[in-house]
Amino acid sequence: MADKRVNAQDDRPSEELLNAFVDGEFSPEDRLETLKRISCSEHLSREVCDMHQLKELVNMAYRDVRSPRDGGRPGPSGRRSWFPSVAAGMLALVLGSLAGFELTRDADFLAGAPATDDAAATLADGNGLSEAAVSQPVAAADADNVLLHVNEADATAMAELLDDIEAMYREAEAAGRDLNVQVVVHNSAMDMLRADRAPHPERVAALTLDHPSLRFTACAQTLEQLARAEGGSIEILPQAERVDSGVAEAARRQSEGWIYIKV
Amino acid sequence: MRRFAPHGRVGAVLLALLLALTGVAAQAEPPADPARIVYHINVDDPAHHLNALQYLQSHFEAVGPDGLRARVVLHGGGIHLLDYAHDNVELRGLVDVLKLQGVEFRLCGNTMESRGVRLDELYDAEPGDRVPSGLAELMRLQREGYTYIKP
Repeated sequence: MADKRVNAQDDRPSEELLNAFVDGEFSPEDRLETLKRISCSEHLSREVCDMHQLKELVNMAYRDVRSPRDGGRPGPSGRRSWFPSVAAGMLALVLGSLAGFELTRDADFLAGAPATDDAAATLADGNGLSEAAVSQPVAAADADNVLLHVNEADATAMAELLDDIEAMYREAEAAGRDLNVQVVVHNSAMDMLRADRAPHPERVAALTLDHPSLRFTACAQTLEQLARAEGGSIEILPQAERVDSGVAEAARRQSEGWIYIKV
Repeated sequence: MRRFAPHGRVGAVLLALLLALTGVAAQAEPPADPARIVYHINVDDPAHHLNALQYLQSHFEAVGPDGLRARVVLHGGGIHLLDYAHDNVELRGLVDVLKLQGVEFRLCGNTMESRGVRLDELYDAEPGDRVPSGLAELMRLQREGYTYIKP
């Protein structure tokens, strides 16, 4: 490791070193040294940013899933004895019969989902499980919160994304569900929200006017990078807002229980 | 991997649930508690398609067909995966193998409309595979507990 560090100082940090940095495996001194070197290089900081992003996304993808039906499943401690489970099973059978009709509507598009959550909540209550296990899905049933993460898109993809957002609101309306959509734009998709380059500014304006719960947010770090590269500051569309970091925003929203979709 | 062990109380509750559900509806879900995964493919690139489906197949090989319930949402440029599958033997084979393991491909209706793609142009596609909106489907599946993967 020490050899690698010395070698790296001659030129640029090795791939391995950068990965270790992103994974937080450095001592404070090493970290400071590497940070200094990264901040000196535009290319390097972008690379580290990408690594961070990849790491976040991998973490998100493999994080434990919470599902409405998990509400009906006890934790590992519940496996210790068989007999209480028979009683629970019988109770579930009765409640399940009642809920069955509701659950089958699950196959119907959006409209079925609230019924599923209600049924799961009923089952869980019937089993005497802790409320904590079901409180999240039930709360989530009140409104859909969706984060659309865009970091590379050409004009066609941007137009399709706007079509998609329109369709999502149309369907949410038809199903009588509230919908919050936040579009997080960073890296090479930034044109979408740039005042001087946006391919469909009038559609962004119309959509935000029609749907107050729709937010377009631009990564401030990307904007700063672009500003440094081009000289001068980058203006974004009046409907768009700045967020400190696109990746951080995506991570924050996910930890708040938002649905994540990478466009 | 605790979720793959359908024994004890979990098994009893799920079995009871299943009995209750099958009594009422034909479309009730299987009793096991497999991981649920939804793949989102929106790139028009057969090499990417091949990679993505290969990842999914590897996942199946790791956990077995009963350990995983998977959906693939084809949206935007991803809709052409089932176009390429006509001529690309490798891709078609993967689609077939995955379907045999219970994978369902969901086709974004908005995309088909905007790109002028007809159902009968797509390999082994049936009317039931088409959903109104790919993104709304991704939302719905995630709400049902499917883990989202963008390969």
